[in-house]
Amino acid sequence: MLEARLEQANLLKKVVDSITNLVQDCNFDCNDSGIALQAMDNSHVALVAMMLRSDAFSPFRCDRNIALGINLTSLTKVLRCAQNEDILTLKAEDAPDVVNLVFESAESDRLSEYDIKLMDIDQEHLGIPDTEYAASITMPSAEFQRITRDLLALSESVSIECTKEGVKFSCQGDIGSGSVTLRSHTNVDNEDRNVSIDLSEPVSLMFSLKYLSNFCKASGLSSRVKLSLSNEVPLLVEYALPSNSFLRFYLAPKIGDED
Amino acid sequence: MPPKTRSRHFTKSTPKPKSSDSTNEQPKSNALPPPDQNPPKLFILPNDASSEARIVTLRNPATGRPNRYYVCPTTGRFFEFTRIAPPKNAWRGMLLTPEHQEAAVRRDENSEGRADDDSKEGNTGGSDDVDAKGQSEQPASENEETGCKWAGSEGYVLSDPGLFIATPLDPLFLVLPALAPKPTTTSNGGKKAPDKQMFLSVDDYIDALLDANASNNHLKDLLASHPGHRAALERRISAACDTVDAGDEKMYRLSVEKVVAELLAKATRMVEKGLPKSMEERFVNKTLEVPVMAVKREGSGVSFVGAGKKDEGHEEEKGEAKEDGEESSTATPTEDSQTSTNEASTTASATINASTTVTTPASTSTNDWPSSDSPLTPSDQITHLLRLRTALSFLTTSYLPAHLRDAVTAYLTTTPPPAADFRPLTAHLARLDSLRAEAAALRSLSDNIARKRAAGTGEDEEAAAEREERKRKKEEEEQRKKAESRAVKQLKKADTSGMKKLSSFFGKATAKK
Repeated sequence: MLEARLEQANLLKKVVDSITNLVQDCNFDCNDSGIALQAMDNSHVALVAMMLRSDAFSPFRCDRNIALGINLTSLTKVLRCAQNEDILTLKAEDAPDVVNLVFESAESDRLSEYDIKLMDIDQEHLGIPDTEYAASITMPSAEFQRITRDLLALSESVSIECTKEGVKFSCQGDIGSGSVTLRSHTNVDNEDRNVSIDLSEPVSLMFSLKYLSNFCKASGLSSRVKLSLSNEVPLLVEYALPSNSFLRFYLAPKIGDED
Repeated sequence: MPPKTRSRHFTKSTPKPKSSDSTNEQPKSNALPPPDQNPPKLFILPNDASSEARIVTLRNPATGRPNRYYVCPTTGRFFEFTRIAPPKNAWRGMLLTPEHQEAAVRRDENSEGRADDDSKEGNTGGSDDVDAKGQSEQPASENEETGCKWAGSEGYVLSDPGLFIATPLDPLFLVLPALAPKPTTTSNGGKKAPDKQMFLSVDDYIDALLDANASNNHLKDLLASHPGHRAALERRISAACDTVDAGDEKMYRLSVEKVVAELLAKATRMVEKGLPKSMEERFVNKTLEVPVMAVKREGSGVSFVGAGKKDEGHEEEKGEAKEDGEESSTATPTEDSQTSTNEASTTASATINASTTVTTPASTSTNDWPSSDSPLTPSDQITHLLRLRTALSFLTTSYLPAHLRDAVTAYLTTTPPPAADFRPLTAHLARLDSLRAEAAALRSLSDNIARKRAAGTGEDEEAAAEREERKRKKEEEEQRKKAESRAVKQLKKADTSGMKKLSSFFGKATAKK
C-alpha cells in the first residue's frame, strides 16, 4: 500500500513535465525511502534519475516496494487537472492495477480523484556510480536555459570547456559560430545569481544541444542547476529539489565526431 | 473435483480408526516399506473394508511394474489406487480438520458397510463415479510409533492436495499376466500364443503369479492367511479360461474369447454408467464431429450452427445435439430428431434445439445403419459402438499385459462378437475422415475466417490467434506512437552520432537509487 501526500501538486507536475520530454513511460519505484525513477530516452544516450524522498511528502507510507509503470503522457494529462496549489495524494495497492491521484483544493472543498491504469514496463536499470567529477559548475538554471536556447539557434552541439578562467559554451554551425563564457561570480544581493565553478582539472566535452535544452525544461523546478563534467564521462545536470530530493539528467558526450 | 463434499465425508470418519488399523498391520507384516516421502498422504478407502485390509505391492498387469493395491482379505476384494490431483495451479494445499475424536470413532464404528459400488472397474478415471465412503490418513512418519499425532485436535495442512482413491479392481486383471505368460514362441498372430498353452491347475497359475511378484511376499502372505482369496482368484480365473477336468482337479487355460467376453461385459457396464466426461468429450464427441462443409445454408440452419457452437464442450449430449444440428444443416436431415431424443438423457433444451432444426421433411430412411448416401449423423448404434470401443481400449491399455492386448485386439477384428461388431463404426469413421480431409481442402481455399472458426479445428484457431496477436501488436505500436509526446518525437531527430549509449558508462548494476 502506497500513500503519499504532497503539499503542492506543483512539484510533481513540473517533475513529470520535464521528464515527459525525454521518456514516454517509466516505472516509479516506490519504497519506504521515497519515490524514485530512472529512465532512458529512446536512443539510450540520456538518462533521467529522479528521487523524491519520503520527507518531501507528509505523510508518506509505503509498505512494500511497488513499481508503478506509468505512461507519462497520461500522467501529464491527469496532472493538468490539478491546480498548482492543490494537495496531491498518490495512492496504490500493493499489487496495483491503477494508481490513484487525489487533488484537494486548499481553499475550496473541491476534491478530484483520478485513476491511471498502470502498465508493465520492462526497463533496464543502470547502476550509476558516485563519480568525482573534474569540474562542477553551479549556476542559475535560467542562465543555463538561456545559453542552450541561444546556441541551439546556431548548432546542434555545444562544446563545454571548463578552465580556471571560467566555463565556455561554444558552438559552430552553418551560419557561423558563437560562444558564451561564464566566470565565477558572486552576487551579493541574490545568491541565486551566483555562478560557482569547482575545478580539479580542465575539461572539454561536446554535447547535443537538443538534449541539453530538453533538460532545461526542468528549470522551473529549481533556481539553481549544477553541471558536473569529467572527460569521457556523461555530463550530469542536476536540479536540486526540496527535502534533499533531486532530478538528475545524464547525457553521453559526443566523442570523436567533430561536427 | 468437488472438494466440498469430500471434506464432509472426511470429517465424518476421522482418520483415527483407520490409521489405527494401519498401525496394527505395521508390526505384523513388517514388509510394508515406509512410504518414500514424509508428508502424510490422504486416502479414500472403502469403509466396509475390514481392519485387516492392507496395502500390498503387486505387479501392475499392464506395465509389469510393482504397484500398490489395497486388499481387504475378508471380502476378498482388491482395490487399486487412483491419484486424483487438482491442476497445478488450482489449489495448493489441503486443510484437514478432524472432528472431535471420540465422536469420529463412534461414527465410524456405526457406519454400516455399504458395498454398493461393486463394479470392478470403469470408474478409475472418472472421479465422479467414486463413491467415497471412508477416508483414512496415514501420516507416514508418525504412525510408526503412535497413531496419527495430529488426529487429536489440531488440523493439518497437506501441501500436496492429491487424493488417493481406492477403487475396486477385478482380481482377474492381476492374475492375467500369469494366465497369459509372454509368448516365448514368437508367433506373430497374438491369437496363436494361447493355443500352444497347456492346461494348468490353479495352483500352477498362482505359483506363476507368486513368482512374478517374487520381489516381495505380500501376495504369498495374503493367500496363506486367507484361503478365501485363493477361491476368489480361482473363480475369476475360471471366468477367463477354458477348463478341462483332469481327475478330481480342474485345469485351466486362458481363452481369449472369454477374456474378450469379460472385457466386453465390463465395457458395456462402463458405457451404461456413462463414460467419464473428459473421455466422452475427447474420444466420442471429437471423433464423431462432422466437419462443416457448405458455406451458405438456409437461415435456420445457420442460426443453429451458432447455437451448437455455443453448446460445444458443455455437455456430452449437447455436443451430440450440435452434431445433429450441423448435420441437419449440411445435408439431408433424416431422423436426427429421433436419435437425439434417444440420446439426450439430459439437456432437454439441446434436444429441442436439434429437433427444431429439421427444416426439410425427414426422409423415410430406415432406422438401422444408414446407407452411404444417408447423412453422417452418428446414429445411436454408432455412438454406442464408439463408446464401447473407447471403454474397451481404455480397459485393454490400462489393465492388460501388452501381449494379451494384441491378442484381444486381433480377436476383436477377426472374429468380432455380435455385441462388439465395430465394422459399421469403422466405416462411419472412415467416411468422416474423408469428409474431414475434404473440408480441410475446401477451407484452405477460402480465407473466410468466420467459417474457419466454425469448423473449429485447433490449427485454424492457432493461426487465427496468431493473426489476432499480430494485429493487436500493430495497433499497440500505433497507439504508442500516438501517445509519444511531441518533445520525444523531436528528440528522435536529434543527432546522436558519436554519442555512446549510457549503458557503456553505467554498469547494469542491480539497484542504485
